[in-house]
Amino acid sequence: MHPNREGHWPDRLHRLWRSAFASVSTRQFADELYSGLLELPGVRAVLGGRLSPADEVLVTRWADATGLHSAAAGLAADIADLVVDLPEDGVVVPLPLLARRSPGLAARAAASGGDGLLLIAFDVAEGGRGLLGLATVADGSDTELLTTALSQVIEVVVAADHRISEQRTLEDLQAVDALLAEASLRMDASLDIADTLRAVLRMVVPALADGAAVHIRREERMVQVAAAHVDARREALLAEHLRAGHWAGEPVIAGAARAGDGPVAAGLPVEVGLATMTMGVLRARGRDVGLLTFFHRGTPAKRVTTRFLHDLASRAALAIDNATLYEQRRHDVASLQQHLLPAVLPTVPGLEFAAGYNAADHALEVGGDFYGVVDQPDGAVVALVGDVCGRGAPATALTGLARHTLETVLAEGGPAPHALGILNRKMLRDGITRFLTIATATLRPGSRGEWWVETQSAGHPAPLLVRRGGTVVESRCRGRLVGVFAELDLRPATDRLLPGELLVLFSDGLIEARDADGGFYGDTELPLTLTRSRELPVAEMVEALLAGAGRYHVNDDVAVLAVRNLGVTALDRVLPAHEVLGAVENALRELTHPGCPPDHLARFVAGRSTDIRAKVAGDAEWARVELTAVDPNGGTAWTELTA
Amino acid sequence: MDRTDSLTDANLVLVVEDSEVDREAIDRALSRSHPELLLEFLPNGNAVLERLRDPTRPRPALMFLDLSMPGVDGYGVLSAVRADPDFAALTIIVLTSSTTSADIERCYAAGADSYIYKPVNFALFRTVLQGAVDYWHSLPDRPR
Repeated sequence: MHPNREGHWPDRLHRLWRSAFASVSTRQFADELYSGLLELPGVRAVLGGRLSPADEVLVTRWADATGLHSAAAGLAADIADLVVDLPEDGVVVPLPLLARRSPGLAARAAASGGDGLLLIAFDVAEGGRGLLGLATVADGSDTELLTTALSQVIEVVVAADHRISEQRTLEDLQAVDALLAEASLRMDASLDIADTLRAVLRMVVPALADGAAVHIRREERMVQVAAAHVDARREALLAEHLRAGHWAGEPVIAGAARAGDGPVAAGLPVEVGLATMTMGVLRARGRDVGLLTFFHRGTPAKRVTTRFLHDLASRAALAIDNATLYEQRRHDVASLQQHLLPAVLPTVPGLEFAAGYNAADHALEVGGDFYGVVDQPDGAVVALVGDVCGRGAPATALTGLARHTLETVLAEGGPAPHALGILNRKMLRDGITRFLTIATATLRPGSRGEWWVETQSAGHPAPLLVRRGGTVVESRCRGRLVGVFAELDLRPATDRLLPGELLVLFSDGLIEARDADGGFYGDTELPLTLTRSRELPVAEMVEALLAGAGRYHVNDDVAVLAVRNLGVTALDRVLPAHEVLGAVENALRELTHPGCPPDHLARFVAGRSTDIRAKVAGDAEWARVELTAVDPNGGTAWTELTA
Repeated sequence: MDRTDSLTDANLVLVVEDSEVDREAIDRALSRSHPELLLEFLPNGNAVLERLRDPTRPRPALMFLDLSMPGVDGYGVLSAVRADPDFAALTIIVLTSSTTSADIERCYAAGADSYIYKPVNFALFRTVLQGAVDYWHSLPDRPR
């Protein structure tokens, strides 16, 4: 710009146009606008204001020799006195006349040195009005020139305001779309809908609302699952008042009213700081499954929030519906699975059994793994674990057939190979296209607390034996899958199970569990887990196996059945605490075991007022002492003693 | 709560954020939505107390605090600032990408005024920041 034209109005106006069109807010060119007008001849002060469609004064500015002041004290009230009948054409109002309508404004103009006010109102974006005024001195000012200059500036303001408003609307829509996309992504990726909706509220507040709450229908009642407030100190207050029904949405929650469309008074106590609300009903398949409410401290930008609320509500409703169906299906599957497994395992003197089942992650069909223990008329006991290929109804039917066939034949005294042969032939005869694998272990009592174990494997992982010293040995039994070949070609193995030793049967999901590096549990730490956990109560040992040593993710269907040979039971009685240690010592003597109860058992007993179930079993070389407090919270202590 | 004091500049905002990308995004977003604000940035939490206690400079009225930072993290800054009653009037808005209940409760317990989710999308980020600043600026007992 030419230096000699520094104060030239057309140049100032040109610069103002350029600034206005580079600005993202009218505030950004306010300095230039007000200082430019202030330098016009005869101008002593410049007034600016913005009114809402309801004529509330939103923004006020005043510039005079002391500078530009935004939201100057009392200025909004002074302008409010003028809002009725604002002039749209430039007329200089003498201050005495102005003082009748707005004494405050007249006083400001007078204080700046003016004797009149040239005031023009104009329409701005979103239905509001703008106001620009010049405090002038009659002597030295050209009203026509000032009116023209003011009109030119108003053209700049209106054009920039509309452009900025359109830009903001576009950006708001982009933000809303981004929020909706992110919220949808989260809801699609998670089945924990309550947790997901809590996260979604965190995105909504404060982007689109100052507070938000979500209710979900549970057992015919709308239950609040989350509430968020931009002010942390008021968040608990909001949740509390919503729960207590201290808000206008309570009739909707109670089912006595329908949610209206659009912002209404929230009816919350003043201390919550949220005056209005917009509710969105979450409807899925013709049913109200929840309620999403946005709260605002004032009147919200209705267009964006209402649209967003309804979009989000419809997506949330779908997510809730899917999650509910999923949970119902999971429950049905778990229930059916439970019915395919024995409710209790038999009690066999000298043996201790425990079984565990892991259902595949997020499985919505019944798995085909099963286990069982069958007493035989001659005193033998058969433990078995099987695995039907596949999942779902056909696998379930075959699981039922296999368990029924095997247990019927075994319970009548039939040997395991015979029972497996009958099942194999039946499957082939009936044209069942699926196959199954199975391992059995027939235990027969020997002398001095020993049991003889005959294991069979029809295409199944061979059972493992855990010796007294902790060594893990795989049974050498082998055989073919059931339901594929006419001959199973079973090659049994026979082992001796001494007191203190364990037999573990399991399905392949256990050995195929992987760690983060892709290593198989069965190839690495399964034997180590067995060695380390062999002294645990057998149920806890099974749990430890299914936990994958805390490293392997057991995410398939897995059945585990563990048997511990306890040897000869020398003591199994409920006793007063003070009699327990003496009885244990007597039982160990009865077994001719040289050990005595260790200190931790003495501490477990000491000072206990409730009775204790004391069990001592074993032989002369190994003994297990297990003390369980009768009190359900009393716990269990145990030890294994080796001579 | 009285949020006014003569040492505080109502338009000064302290942003404690280790990510340069996020600092730039905050600058861009707030410059557009609230050009009247003066932004001051710290790249980590180590110097926050020292800055707030500097008698030669005005105190910020508001602080955006990233939760996850090397060195003194957001929780550490929050606890340290809240332990000093001189800064009771400072509004602290935690910015984080976590929406887990445990993180939120921990921040509230440590004295955060707002817990704000930090989205990836810039338009949404700008809207979030604008919403937070608008809310705290709208309070009648806050300096403007």
